[in-house]
Amino acid sequence: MTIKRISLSLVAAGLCVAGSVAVASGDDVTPPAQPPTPVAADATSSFAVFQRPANSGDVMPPVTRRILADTAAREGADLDGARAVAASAGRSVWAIPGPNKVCLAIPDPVDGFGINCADVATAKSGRLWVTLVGLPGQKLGDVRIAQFVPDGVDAVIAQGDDGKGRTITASDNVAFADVTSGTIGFSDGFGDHRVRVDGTPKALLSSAG
Amino acid sequence: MIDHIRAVVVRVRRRAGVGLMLAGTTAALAATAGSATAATHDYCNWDGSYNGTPAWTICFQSGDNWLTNNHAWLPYLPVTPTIYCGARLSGVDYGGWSGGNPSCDHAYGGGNLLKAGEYVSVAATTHGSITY
Repeated sequence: MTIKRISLSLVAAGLCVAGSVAVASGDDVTPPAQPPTPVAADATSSFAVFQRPANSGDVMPPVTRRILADTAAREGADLDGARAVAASAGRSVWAIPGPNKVCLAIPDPVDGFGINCADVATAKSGRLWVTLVGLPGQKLGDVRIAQFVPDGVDAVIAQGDDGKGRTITASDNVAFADVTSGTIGFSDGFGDHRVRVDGTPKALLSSAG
Repeated sequence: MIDHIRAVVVRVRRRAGVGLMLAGTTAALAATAGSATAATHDYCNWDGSYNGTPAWTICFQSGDNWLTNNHAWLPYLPVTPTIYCGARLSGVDYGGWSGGNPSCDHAYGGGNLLKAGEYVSVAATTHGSITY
């Protein structure tokens, strides 16, 4: 074999190898392995209240929609997906879902709503709650509260500072009641979830009309 | 050559003028849209800075407005106090005070001239904003 033939053979072999590589890479349509993308917790899929079919009571009145619009826009909450979870003062307590948030709104008997919003993880741990104090008729320490609870929790315990305990039934993922200063919460497979609630203070009673 | 340069300068000026006109029109439209909708303002500390709020002491806005929303929060977390949002009408509590942690929110119908306020159950740094 002459040097020229050897060179040609090497060139041919090189081309074959290059071709094989090219074919191999061209045929390899399987995408490289990627770590799974974490999916942000979604309120609608996380809580039963937002999965149940809407009924006639869940249609939010236009006035309520207008009053809640600013907060809903700020928090990214979806008023169309809201559910009426309890009755109060002739209106409804609302649970409102967002892409990764839940909002609770309690009607103020005088005007508007008390509202609070939290992300899904916070809502699952019982730390989404909203209170109203200083309402007409409330006495020192009185508080109206709505607390959001995860699926499977059907009651919360309100423990007053006076030592008296009371069980409050939760429905549609919300416990709603008039209680007194103390703690409120529940226990589940992830631990004991209690929050401190302070009722109507003396300062408000002295300034109420 | 000088005539050519002058022509180019005139074209550039015309284009810049049209651009400025469009920008001005856009700004005017934005301003019109803004005035037609409610705006949000800081209160308590109107310059947007945070407020050191003692426990159970209401920090009020300085004036009265056709309030539609009162939103206050505890900027440094985690903190334990409950923060409350409410309002007064002619010096008297108007409805209830809405409590939460780490923020509070009380929405209103906007039909009354109200003075918004916020307070905390434990002394804390707070920040309030009102929409009217």
